[in-house]
This record gives sequence, structure tokens and C-alpha cells, in this order.
Amino acid sequence: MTMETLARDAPSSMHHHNNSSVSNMKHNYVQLSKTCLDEDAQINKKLPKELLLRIFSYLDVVSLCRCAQVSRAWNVLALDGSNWQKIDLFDFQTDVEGPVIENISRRCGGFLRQISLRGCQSVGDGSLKTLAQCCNYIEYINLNGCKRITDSTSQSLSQYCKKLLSLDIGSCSIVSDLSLKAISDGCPNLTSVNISWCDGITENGVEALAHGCPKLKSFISKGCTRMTTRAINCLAQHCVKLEVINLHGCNNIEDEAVIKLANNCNSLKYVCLANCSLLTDNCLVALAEQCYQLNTLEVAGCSQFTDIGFLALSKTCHLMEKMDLEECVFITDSTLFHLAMGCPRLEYLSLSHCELITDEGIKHLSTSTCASEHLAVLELDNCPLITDASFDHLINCHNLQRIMLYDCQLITRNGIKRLRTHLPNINVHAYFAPVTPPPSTGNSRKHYCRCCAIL
Amino acid sequence: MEIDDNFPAAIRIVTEIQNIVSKDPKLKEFDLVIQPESQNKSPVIYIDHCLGLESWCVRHVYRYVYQRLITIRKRLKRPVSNETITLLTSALLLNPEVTTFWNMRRELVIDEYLKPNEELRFCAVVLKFKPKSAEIFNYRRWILFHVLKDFSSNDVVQNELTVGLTAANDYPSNYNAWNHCFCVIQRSLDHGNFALIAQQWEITKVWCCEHVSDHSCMQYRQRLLKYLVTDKRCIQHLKSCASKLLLRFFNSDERHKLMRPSEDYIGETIGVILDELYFNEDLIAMYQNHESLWNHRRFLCYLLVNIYSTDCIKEVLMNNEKRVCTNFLKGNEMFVKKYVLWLQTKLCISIQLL
Repeated sequence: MTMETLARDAPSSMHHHNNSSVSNMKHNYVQLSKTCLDEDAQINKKLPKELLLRIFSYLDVVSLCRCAQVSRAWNVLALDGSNWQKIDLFDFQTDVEGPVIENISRRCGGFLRQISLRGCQSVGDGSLKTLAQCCNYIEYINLNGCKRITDSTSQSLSQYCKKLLSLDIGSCSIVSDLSLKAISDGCPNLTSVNISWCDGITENGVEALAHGCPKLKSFISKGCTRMTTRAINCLAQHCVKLEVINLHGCNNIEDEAVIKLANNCNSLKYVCLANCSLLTDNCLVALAEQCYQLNTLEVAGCSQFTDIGFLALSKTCHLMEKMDLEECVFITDSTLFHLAMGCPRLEYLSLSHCELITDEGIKHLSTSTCASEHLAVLELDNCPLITDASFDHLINCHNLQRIMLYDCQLITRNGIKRLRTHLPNINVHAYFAPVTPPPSTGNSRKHYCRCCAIL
Repeated sequence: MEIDDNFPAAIRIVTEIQNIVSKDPKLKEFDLVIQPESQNKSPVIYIDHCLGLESWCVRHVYRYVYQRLITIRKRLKRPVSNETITLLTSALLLNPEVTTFWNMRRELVIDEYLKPNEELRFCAVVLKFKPKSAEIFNYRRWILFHVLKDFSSNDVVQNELTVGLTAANDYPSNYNAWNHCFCVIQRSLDHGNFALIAQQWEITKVWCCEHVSDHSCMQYRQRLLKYLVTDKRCIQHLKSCASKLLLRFFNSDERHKLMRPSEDYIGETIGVILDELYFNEDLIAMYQNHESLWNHRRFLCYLLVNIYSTDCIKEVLMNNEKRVCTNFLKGNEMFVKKYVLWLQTKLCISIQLL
């Protein structure tokens, strides 16, 4: 219903077909209500248009569309471009067609600053070209999952939206290097880009981007398997302001790339190198030497990392808040010991599949300051050496909200019960069946469908 | 939310199941593994392309997926296709009788989130767990007839017949499985695949020998036989030994009355029925007291009389049945008596038992 409001060109087009008596009646009613409501309605008398407009400016897309259906006067006000500076269709409706986007662009014009079309799969190049042409001041555009768009969209954006700051074309699998070349030519102010899962993008595109957009702060390229060391080197050389970099699954990246990043981009705060399996401790050492502001490090699946790397890291990166060390299979209790000493702000720590971790390591972790004040999430699933003895230490972690213990086979149900008595609000994830069984079978069956009785 | 807190492992278990189902195209079967006590290890067991789930978690996992899916269905929650698929996979593996869940999957197929060929594979796995579920066969037919619509390739048809036969093997008197096979055969007849009937006729003959009380299979053969005797295009693919059988059944006089040169097709159809009649007699001789065999015999007599309605054939049939009934009276007393009564009332063939 509300999307129809957007799709219509002008509110008057609504009452054109009066070929039946019903629609005639409707027509009369609308005319009647128009004279009653529009100008003379109490609310419109009391509130001047400027104030109404101001109120509307605080509403979201859904409410605006509803207001637009109240009366003709409200329709004009609610659909005024000034209210439409930020549009996010993702939480609203994603199965929109091209004409909707074109109407939005005509209505918003130069007012539009932020638009998110995440997941709008049917949107194509044509309507996005109209968008770029009408709305030259877009700063933030999210096209994640708009699978039909091609390089032509990026070219339109580059041509008309010179002020673009943030671009997300994740999962747009047809786009290629030409897109990044166009963006680098036209949008020199770009600070944030997401090209995750774009299989068509290679090192050439990233190099062009690095040359053209030196203000880049955030670079996210998950799952770009064709990303190379050379591309990252280039990025490190030209975009020294980088703070966020995500290379999840770019498994051709070598040490050299990360070392260069660490040396040039000293303000790095967020680094994700998950599943880059060629990397070794040298990366961690380089990051430790140069990037003191690091607060998030995700290195799941970097199985060559050892205690040496994390020792270096814990000596300098004291601001660390989140660490994902899943499947760093060589790390031992010594890493935990150093992390406990060096990273007092640690909130989230994942040690899944780190099979050498023992109760001793947990003891070190639990006695540190980070544990007692900050540590909220601890993932220990598939750490086979962990026993109930760990819980004696973990009871000191007063802030602990979630602990993962899947497949830790030395953990018993009683151990968990004991932990719960000390930390009543903790959320324990294990394969044990729920402690309190669902209400007695006779009653609960009634809630199920008839077939569930079979189970 | 309450459920998530109660058993947070559920989401992990269903994700693990989904991963296995989607990553292993050779997955053969799914079943429950009896394990009343829960241990802190994954209840999902995956060996040799076979998937198992320990029984202790079934009730908790099903409760979780059921409630989540119903919330999604009632549109209380914004649907995310990936999550829905994961939940549906576990829900349907555990309980394939819920039409709503299959319908949700149908919607996902229409929206191209699920691939029809992978769905056929998934169905086959569910069928290994619950071979008699009509919902699975319905869904399978929907995929075949409304999504794929392609019956030109013999592989598709053969695959369906194999799946049907496997399900029939796994559950006695599996009417749904045989019915599914027959639907597929009907469809492929529309595409001119006439050899199929003859082929199925031969295959199920062997199968019947091994499952003498499976009336569903007999009924399937009856439906095949109807096609064979009414459609010349079907019977021509059958290796027949009509002449020998006719010789055994009729004496030369009767044969002359029956056989006019232009009607060798009739001879052939009678040959098929007679072949089945003698086959049925052999089975009755070997296995005593199986109602399905006697019922099948009724059908054969009925067909014989109705296809070729002359007094001559009734006479021959009477003599033959008299012999059979007398020979097998001992051991099959109740069925023989019922059979004789039936012959008399429905076909007007009266037999005096000695």
C-alpha cells in the first residue's frame, strides 16, 4: 500500500478511473473530504506548514508514506524532498521495481544524502542512473545484494555524484574492475568502500581505487579470492588513513601485504584476516610494532600464527577489545597469559578449535583485570582439554555473559550448574539438553501440531 | 527468545545439518541414533554419506525449529531466506508430515532460493527416513510436474522409478511409493515413452516374488497390465511367449475358435494375462494363505473375461480355476471359498469344489 504512494507520480492520478458507480462515489467522497480536511482541518489550521514539515522531517520512510495518505495537503508535505534525506528500504520493503527508485529520485532531488537499497534485487542500472542524475549530493549509497547492477551504475555514480563518501556494492557479482576505475576517477572523497563477494574484481581495480581515493578509511573485501598481495601493497601505499580493513577469505594474501599495511597505515583499528592461511607471525609482529590503536583483530583460520605473534601483539596493543583466534591451532596457554597481561580491555575472545588451551590458560585469563571487568564473551568450543576446573577461575569474570563450550567433552553438567550459581545471568552454550525440561508432556503437546506427537 | 535461551545449541545443530545436506550431493540417508543421555558433543553424526541425529536432542531441536518457523510463517518476523531454509531442512527431516513446511519450501523454490534438482535429492534423503510419507511424494511430484516439467530425458524418469522402488523396499505395502511410480509412468507415456511399461512389468515381477503379501505392488502391476492390454504401443516392447501359453491354456479346438488370423494382437494380450495367471498360480503354490495373491487372481480373471467376452473363454477359465481351487484348497481354505463365491457372483462362473 505504502509503496504505491511512492510509485505514483502525482497524488491526483489516483482518481482517474471512475467508470463504475462505486468509484464515482469514492470520487465524490474524496472531493468532499478534500474540502473538509485539507485546508480547514483543525490540525492544519493550528499548525503552519513549516512546523508540519519540521515534524515530518523526524519521521522514517514508513511513517512518511502513511502520512502521505492522510490528505492532499499532507501528501504534498510528507513527500517533500526535504524529508527524504535518508532512505533505507531494507527494513521496509526490498521487492521494489525500477519505477519506485525513479520516483524517489525525482522527489528527493538534491536533498538526498543517504540511500540504502540493500537487498533490492530487482533494481537495475537504468533506475540507478536516474537516481544518480537527480540526486547529485548523495554521500552514502548501499547497493549490497542488488545483483542486477553492472559497471554502468558505478559509471553513473562517478559521473554525477562527486560527493560520494561511502559505497557498498557487496554481493553484486557482475561488477568488475571497471566499476572501481570509474569510482576512483569520479569520487575522490570516498572514505569507505565494500566490495565483498564481488568475484569479478581483481588487483587492477583495487589499484585504481587506491590511486584515486587517497582518503579511504574503510576497505572491506570479504571473499574476494582474486585479491593479491600487490593490490594490498598499493592500498597501503596510497591510502595511509585506513582504519578498517577486512580481507576475510582473500586467501592469496601474503605476509608482505600485511607488513606494508602495518608500516604505512598506523591508525588501523580494525583488522580482519580470517582464513588468509598463508600469513605467519611476521604479520602480527609488524602490526604490533606500528598499529597501537588496534582494537579488533579477527584471524580465524590463520593456522600458522603462534604464541610468538600474540606475545608481540599483547606487548603494544593495549586497546584490544575483540579477538577472534578460532582455529589458530598452535597457540597455547602462553598466549592467554600474555593477553591477560597486555590487553586489559578485552571484551570478546574466541578460542574455538584452539586445541592446546588448558585450564592453566583459563586461570591466567581469569585472574587478569580484563577478565574481572570487561570480558563478556568467551568461546571455548572444541577445546578438548578444558575441564570443569576452569569454572573455578571463571567465576571471577563478573561481566561474563556468554560462554561457548560445545564439544568440550570433559565439561560436565554439574560443572555448568556450579558456574551458574556464581554467575546467574550467564548464557552457557553446550550440547546438553535444557536443564528445565519443557512443561509436562500432557500440556505441551497441545501447543504442537498433531504430528509432533509422533516425535 | 525464550527458546533460544533454553537450548542455544539448537541453532548450531540445525546449521550443522544444513551444511551437510547442502554440501554433500551423495547424501544417502538420515536416521535417528538412539542415545537417551546427552553428552557435550555434537549430536549430529555423519559417516559415509549417512546422516544421523542422536535421539536425546530431537524433541528440543524440533521444538525450536517448529516455533521459529511458525513465527516466520505468521510474519511476526522478517523472513531471511537462508535462515528459513536451514530451519526447514531440519524440521522436514524430523517430521515430513507437515504440509505447511513443504509449502514454505515450495515458495522458496518459486523464488529461486532453492534449486529443483537439489530439492529432489533432499526429498530422497527424507524418504529414507519416512518412506511412506505422502507429503514427500506430493512435493516431489510438484517439483517434477510443475517446476521441471521435463520428461524428455530418460534419466529423470528412471531416477524417479528408482526412488519409488527404494521407498517401496523400505516400507511394506507402500501405496504412496507405487502410486508415485505410476504417476511418473503416466506422465512419460504422454511423452511417448512406451517401452517403460514393459520394463516395469518385468522388474516388478521379480519384486513380487520377494514380497508376496504386498498388495500395493500387485495393484501397481494391475494398473500396468491395464495399459499393456489396451494399448498396442505398450505391449510391443514385451518379450512374449504367447503361443506357448495359449497352447497350455486352450485345447486346439478352442484355439481355432479364438484365433482368427487378423487378431494376433488379442492373442498377445491374452498371452500376457495368462502369463500372469500362471505366475500367480506358482506363487500361490509356494506361499500359503496370502490374501493379496488371491485378490490379484480375481483381478486377472475379471480382466480376462472382460477383454474377451465369449462363452468359450469362460468355459476354459472355469476348468482352469476348478483345477487351481481344488489343488490349493488345503492351506488356503478361507481364501478359496471367498474366491469361488466371487467367481460365481461377479463373473457367473460356478465351480463345484470336491
